[in-house]
Amino acid sequence: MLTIGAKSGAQLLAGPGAVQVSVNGRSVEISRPIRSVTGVLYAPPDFFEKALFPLAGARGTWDPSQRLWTVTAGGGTAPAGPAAEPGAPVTVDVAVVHVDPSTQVVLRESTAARFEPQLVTSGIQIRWTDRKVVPPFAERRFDDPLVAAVRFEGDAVTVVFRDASLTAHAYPLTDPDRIVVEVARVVASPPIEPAPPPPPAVPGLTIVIDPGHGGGETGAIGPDGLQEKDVTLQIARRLAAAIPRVLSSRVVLTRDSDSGISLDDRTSLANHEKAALFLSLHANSSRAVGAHGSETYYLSLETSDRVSQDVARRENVAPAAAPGAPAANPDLDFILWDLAQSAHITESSRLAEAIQTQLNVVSKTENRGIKQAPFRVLAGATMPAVLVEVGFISHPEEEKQLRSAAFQESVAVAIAKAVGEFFGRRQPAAAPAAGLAVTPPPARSPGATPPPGK
Amino acid sequence: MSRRAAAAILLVMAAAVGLLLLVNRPASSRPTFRRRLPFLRVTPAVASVTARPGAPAAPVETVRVTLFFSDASEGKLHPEERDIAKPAEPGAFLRALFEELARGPRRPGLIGVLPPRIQLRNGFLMPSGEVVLDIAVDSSLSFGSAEELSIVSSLVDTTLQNVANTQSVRILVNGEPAESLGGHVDLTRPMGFIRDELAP
Repeated sequence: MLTIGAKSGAQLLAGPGAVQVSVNGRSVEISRPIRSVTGVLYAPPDFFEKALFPLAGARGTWDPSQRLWTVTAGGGTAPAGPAAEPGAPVTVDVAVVHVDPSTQVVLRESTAARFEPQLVTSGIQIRWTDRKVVPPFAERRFDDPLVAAVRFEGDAVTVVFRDASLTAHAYPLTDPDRIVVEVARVVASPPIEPAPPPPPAVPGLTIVIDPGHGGGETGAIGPDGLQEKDVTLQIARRLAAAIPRVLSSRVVLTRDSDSGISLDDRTSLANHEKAALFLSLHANSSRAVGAHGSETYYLSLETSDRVSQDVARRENVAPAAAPGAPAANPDLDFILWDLAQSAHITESSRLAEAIQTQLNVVSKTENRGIKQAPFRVLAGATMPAVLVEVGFISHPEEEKQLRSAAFQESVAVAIAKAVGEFFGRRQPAAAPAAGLAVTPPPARSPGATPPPGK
Repeated sequence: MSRRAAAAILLVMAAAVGLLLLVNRPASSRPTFRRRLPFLRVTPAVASVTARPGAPAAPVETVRVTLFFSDASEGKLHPEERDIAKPAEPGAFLRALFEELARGPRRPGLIGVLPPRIQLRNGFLMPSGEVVLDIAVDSSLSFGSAEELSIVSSLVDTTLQNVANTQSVRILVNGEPAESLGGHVDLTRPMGFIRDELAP
């Protein structure tokens, strides 16, 4: 859930999947639902038009052909009620005040009138829309560092800038009725710009969360019909929200919808994102009726000794491939993928311990402990990686728990807390090791820079 | 005279050579069989003699095998021994082991690990010592980690425990290499004995 607050105290609530957003308690319908793609929210143009800009007291129009927003201040909350008789001309006088670093041009009106500000090449133009204007002068030059002149033409006034590096916005004030035009240097982003996608919060530390199963692969199914793939996605979304609260990081989900992905592609995504952690979320099932509680797994390396010998033997035979070139020997590629996690196994066991400890404390599930298993999704991860079984969906009581939002949230908070602790105790120098450049055949090169989140 | 004697001697020698060739022909052209590896690890159990009155005693040669089943409480694997008819070759032995696992345990407190919709299509013992189990899995089956670990561990450990001259087990799903049975346990590589799932 996304909450946006305006200076005025107004509030906007929206979240992934929403077709109705709450603006200051009022429900506003938008044409298409808000989507979350790898942690970034995407909204249709009318979300900005109907919800976001009015919240900020602004008005925006979207030109799809140019992909350009034209945003004007004052459109949303400008007082509409005409105080004087309609059509009566408005008398305007002008004052220019420079208070470093900006200049205010105050257009005092005899009565409140509707207006539209618009940036033009020479400056900013204010056009009165419902009244004639009685100008105090045609044009007057000012000895101001930012404003060169104020020029009246018809029912509009242009505040002429000294140079092109300036921008301005205008807003109405009352008692006395006036329009204030604030002229200032362009800082980071000018007010009239297509809305840029929100940048990732903290580049550098990325955590990949993998909601197990999805699409046609339901995972385990509980006695009351609850499907593992749904539970894992719901907890993953909660965890994605919980982690940034304890740790400044960027969170990426391997899937944010009911879609199927291969196990290797999940790991590939984490490797490609150069993630600092890989958390695969699952719900357990067993034919043993007594099986219940949470478990945290890290990779079992039972066969790794033999595999290592195998690699050494093959490396002595196979010619060294150029970096980035597809591996000439698919067996070698396959074995390297298996070895990727072995470099991080100690960290993975520490992470598993941190998570299991928190799950035991917070979720009141029985400790089935920290375990090792040859899980495919962990094998190729080039970072600390664990698979969390949050509970047994095959156990009727735990199936009920797994369905409840409160339990899901407590599990997410527990895991997030453990992640925070894991990094809290970690040596700052311990960067994700890049010693093994491991890529399975369908993955992208791990050497490539991840694209900016968009 | 001496020419006639020489001709007679030559004739006798030719006949002898021909006879030798005739005698040796079946032996030399017999196909050479590769030496077959013994595949029964355990000493065959004492033949159980079913002594029914009236019926002729038909001794059935049996072999004692160790099967791994799950307990009903925690889902850990426990061994159970039983005697089965001695199989003729490795493929039949692998099939017999699978069928015994599918039949389930006899000891109270244990439960079977193989769901009914998992079948063995074929089992092979490769000359390299790798066992290949090609299993048919109904697409509607779904597992959690613990259940999948039990299935795979029981298959792998039962195979390696009983079949001699094996180092690893590779599991194919519906005739093809697969990532996993149900999204968890790595099937892309041959597996050694899995100890993590055994009851302490």
